[in-house]
Amino acid sequence: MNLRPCTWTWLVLMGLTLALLAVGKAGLGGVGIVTLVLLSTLVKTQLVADYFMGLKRARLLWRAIVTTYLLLVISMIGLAYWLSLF
Amino acid sequence: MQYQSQAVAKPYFIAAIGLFVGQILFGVILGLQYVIGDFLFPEIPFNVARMVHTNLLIVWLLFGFMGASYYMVPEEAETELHSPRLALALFWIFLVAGALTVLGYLLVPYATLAEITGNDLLPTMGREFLEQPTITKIGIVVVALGFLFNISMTILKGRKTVISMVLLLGLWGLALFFLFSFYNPTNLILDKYYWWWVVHLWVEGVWELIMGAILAFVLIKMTGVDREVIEKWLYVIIAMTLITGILGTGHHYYWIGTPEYWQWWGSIFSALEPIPFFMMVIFAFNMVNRRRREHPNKAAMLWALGTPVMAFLGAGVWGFMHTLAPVNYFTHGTQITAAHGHMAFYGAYVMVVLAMISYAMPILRGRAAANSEKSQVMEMWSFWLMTVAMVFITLFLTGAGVLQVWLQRISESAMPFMVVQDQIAIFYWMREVAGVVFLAGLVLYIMSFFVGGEEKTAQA
Amino acid sequence: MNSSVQHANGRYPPGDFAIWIFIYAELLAFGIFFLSYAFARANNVELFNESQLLLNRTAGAINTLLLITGSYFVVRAVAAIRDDKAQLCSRWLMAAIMMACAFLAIKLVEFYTKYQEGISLSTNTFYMFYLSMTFFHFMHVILGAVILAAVMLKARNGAYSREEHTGVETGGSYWHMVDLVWIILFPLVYIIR
Repeated sequence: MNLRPCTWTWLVLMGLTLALLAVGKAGLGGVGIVTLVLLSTLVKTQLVADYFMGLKRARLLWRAIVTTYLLLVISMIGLAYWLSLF
Repeated sequence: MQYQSQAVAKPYFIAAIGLFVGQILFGVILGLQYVIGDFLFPEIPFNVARMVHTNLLIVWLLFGFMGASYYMVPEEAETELHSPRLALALFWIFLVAGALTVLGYLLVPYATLAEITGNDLLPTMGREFLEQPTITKIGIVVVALGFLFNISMTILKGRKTVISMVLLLGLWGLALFFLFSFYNPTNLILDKYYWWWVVHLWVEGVWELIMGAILAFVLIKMTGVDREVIEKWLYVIIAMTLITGILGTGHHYYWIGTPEYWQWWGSIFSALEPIPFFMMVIFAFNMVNRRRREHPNKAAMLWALGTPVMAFLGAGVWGFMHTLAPVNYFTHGTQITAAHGHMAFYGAYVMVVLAMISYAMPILRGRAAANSEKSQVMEMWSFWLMTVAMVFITLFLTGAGVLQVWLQRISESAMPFMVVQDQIAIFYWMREVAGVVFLAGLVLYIMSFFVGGEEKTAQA
Repeated sequence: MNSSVQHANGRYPPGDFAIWIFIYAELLAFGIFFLSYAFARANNVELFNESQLLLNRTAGAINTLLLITGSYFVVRAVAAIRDDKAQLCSRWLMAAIMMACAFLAIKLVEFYTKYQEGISLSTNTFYMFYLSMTFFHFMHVILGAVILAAVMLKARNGAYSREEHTGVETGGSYWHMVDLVWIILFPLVYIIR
């Protein structure tokens, strides 16, 4: 199937979101699940940045700022979650 | 001077400087009273000196903003001022009203002042920075409306630029928020809640718009950089100001009896308030770096670059240090606050007005673009004296504040207020020395206006 | 500036440079909110876990799907104008705005439900964050929709072309930011426990 890159991105994003809903409905929690959730969030946001915002084709600096931001925020959320387990 | 009517700016600038001197004289008096408590008592008690010091600051800055507007707007709008006569009339009204008010503070007991000015008809006196009698406040509104009318009509009939629109927005905002000084709820929490609608939304809100517009104007004139570039920066800066500053008001709502969520909102948004100041630093240096001309007014250039730096340090950095609720819980109402307040006001508003005066005054006095080398050198010395003195004032007050917080609030064996004041007196003495140096710088600044000499031929 | 040439150079991100400063600032603001929530949660785990159960995860998920789809439509709109198809561009934008409106409607129902249940900013720390953050985001969705609407009208009136369509990219970039922050917000507030 010859879909535009943005359409592929959209499908992946939708799929990951539905998976997230499933996790939510099942009330799942814990380090493993949360790690998966956060990784999936990182993937989703990076996809939006790369293919929707067009940063993949822009000069590295602009993309790097967003990626750094995502890594920082999401990993800090992970850290906070890990701390909450004690 | 491109337009004749820009000349009305001159009396405003002169009054501004005059009142600035008054403010600093009283500042030096206050500084001494911190350590010699009955200095000038009972003729000028501490609370009276303080009112004079703070009120003069605000009034001279207002004169500065008005003068700056009268100078900028005709040039931006490319048309003469709507009514120079109105501008001059309002000048005298404002000056006389201000002088009478300050005399009222000094010569008459405050309660008597309230009585003779009919405060009981519409009570607005008795709050910090808003000590003016109700009739003075009404006078301020009248003067402000007249000023706004004049400036707005000028812009309406001429070219509308981003700079003049931002300035106008800031000035209208200034007037609008001042109206809250008339609102005096009996509930103490609401009283304090709305008091900040004047104070915070002024200095961490609409005044920043005014500052941005003035700075942008001075930079365009002196660097020759494309207006479009500067305008874009200005948009971003004021957007950040409003976004961070409006909800940032919450950092004054931590402990006054408002709901707890303000501790979160206030912390989160006010933490971002340094951003527009940081942007102003980048903006100013960037513009100067890519300048297309070597403007002969080096002194004005120094003020224009120094302003965002000191504003960022005083308002941004020092502000950030005590803005988060968990920190503010301990530092609230201490010398930390005073340290921040002094550097912030000086860096942001005093310096931007002085930058404008530095740029415009030579032209208003008939020069092509700048004063003589000798005059500029003296002015630049005064810049460094005042600025470095202010840095030291701030550092000493920060020292005082840290020690105060430790001894009075954190330490296991916390000491009472007055005992702690004795302990931090050494910082107050040092602050006073710095204050006297500041005054010396100001004197040098005044002297620079009287140094003549040939203007260096301006380069294209 | 000729934006398609710009883009071919790959030098600047799409849209006006100024909007990107704005976007970064917005990301920073939301980022601080997210981290404040995450660390506040660490201090109140039971409270947060308990209160979180009362949220409507399906509504949140649907809202996520709506925003993502809206972003997709915006990308299609930009592609259309790059192909000089102004009317098609405005139709894609209209579709995106519809997604935004649906989001707002569902969110309003969520807010109303909570209000009916007697929950407010002062109920507890979790709800303070939930209401603050989603309301803050709500306002951004409104702003984003307004921006898209303005761009849509201009596109329909022929203001943009293959050569000059910076406005579409600028508005689009802002919209994507609104989507991006929600993609973090949803799992953070609704799911992670």
